[in-house]
Amino acid sequence: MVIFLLVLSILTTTLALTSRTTGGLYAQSYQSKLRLAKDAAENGLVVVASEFNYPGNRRVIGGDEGYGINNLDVNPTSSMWGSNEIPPLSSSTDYPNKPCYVYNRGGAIREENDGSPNEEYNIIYKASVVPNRENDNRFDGLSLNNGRHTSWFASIAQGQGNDFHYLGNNQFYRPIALRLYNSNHTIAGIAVEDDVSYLTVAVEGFYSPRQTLNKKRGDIIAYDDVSGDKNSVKYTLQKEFQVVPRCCSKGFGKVNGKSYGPSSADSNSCLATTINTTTEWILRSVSRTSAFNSAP
Amino acid sequence: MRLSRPWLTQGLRFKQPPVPDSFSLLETVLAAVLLVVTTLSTYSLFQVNMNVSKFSHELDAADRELSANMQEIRLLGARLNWCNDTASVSPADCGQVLPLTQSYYSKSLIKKTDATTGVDVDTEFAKACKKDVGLYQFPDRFYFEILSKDDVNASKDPLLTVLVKAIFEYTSNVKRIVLLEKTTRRLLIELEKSVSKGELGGSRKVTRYLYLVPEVAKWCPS
Repeated sequence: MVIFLLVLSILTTTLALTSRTTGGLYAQSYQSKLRLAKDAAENGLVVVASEFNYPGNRRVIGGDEGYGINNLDVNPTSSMWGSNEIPPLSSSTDYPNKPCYVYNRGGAIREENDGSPNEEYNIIYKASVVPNRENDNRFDGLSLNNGRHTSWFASIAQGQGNDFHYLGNNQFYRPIALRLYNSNHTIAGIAVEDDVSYLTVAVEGFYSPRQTLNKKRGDIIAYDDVSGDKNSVKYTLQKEFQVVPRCCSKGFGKVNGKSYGPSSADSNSCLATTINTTTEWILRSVSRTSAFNSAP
Repeated sequence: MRLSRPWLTQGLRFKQPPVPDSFSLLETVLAAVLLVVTTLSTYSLFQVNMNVSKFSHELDAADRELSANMQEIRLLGARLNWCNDTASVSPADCGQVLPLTQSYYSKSLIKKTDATTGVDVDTEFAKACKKDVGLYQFPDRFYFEILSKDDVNASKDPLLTVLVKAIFEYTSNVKRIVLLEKTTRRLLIELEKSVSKGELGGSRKVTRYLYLVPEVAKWCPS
């Protein structure tokens, strides 16, 4: 009896030790996965912001106030370059404002498998709201311009099967909300050329090692595939960027007379500069950051 | 005649107490062996658990080290600026002013007047911005140029040369730096650290990806 109790005691101790160690391992593993998911969200924010700053996308969130919110304003046909190639600024044979053009028919970002532009989804800024449990319309929000996408990498998913973008290292991201504010931090539909604006970008980062088989960086994956993966971890980040208008090819200068850079050109009257250019909008600095949990 | 109380004549009879026999001795020995084996097994399991726990702690430490590296590299990206016709990651070179601040530059970065001809010409910054950016053609948009420490070349991109070199010098955990997109200078920095499994044998690599766009690149006119 004594021996039996002794063995039982040893077994109990062993199980307790194993349980404690295993629990610790799980906790550390989860913490590591959470860091990876957070990194994915951070990286996604970098990608989305640089997409907005890419030539051809710099005018998608801004426009002239007088035009109001419409297709011509957000995606002006008058400044639309007719191909998927924008010549270098330094070439004397090219117009100096071509880097400010919006690409024709949405081929700028989204490509078919053969590299040709996908003409189905034009590049367009699409305002949205931050999703929450009560908001069934979480991917749409304020709808501008027939729900077309901002860009392949900065688009708000709408069940197109292109929800998550693969960053490599088992990490994915997807932008889930964009919201534009004017300089007084009230909601705006479009960035104006005579004042700074603020753009908040919310991005979900996912660490999901089971979804990466045969995936290459830049590949896309459907939301349903990731959301049902119990081995994945999600982290949501939101950052706010200052949106500074400036004259294309001039760099940062004045905004309605106030200096935001060394250039003497004023974003409110770019056409009056020596070499006529058009206004473009650059996401410059992060002014506010927040992290929050959201339901899977 | 049968006596009703036989012990009165036969005396009291007591059952003999059990005495150790050969089987009982074997049981004790086996119990002792079992106890030793169980103790050794427990010790072994405990050691394995300790090793695994130690390995897990080392993995976690490596993970946190890479996270700290990434944060420092982000700061390097934020500090990269352009002063006196060259790039620098040292704020002292630009009077402690960073590209994030609104008053980053007091003079034009784009054009300057040539003292001889009196004609406006591109500054070194403007030239650096255009350097090797090339055509904005989509097939070339994702420009997978791997930048190694020994391959840092100012002729490729004067804006990034100083930053890439500083990143490599900051930590040996950087495995490679890839220039993903030329125009906005989007970099992919891959960090890697090997962790030995100790008595378990072998090693395991912890990998982290960092996407970085230096703030100064936004000041480019192009």
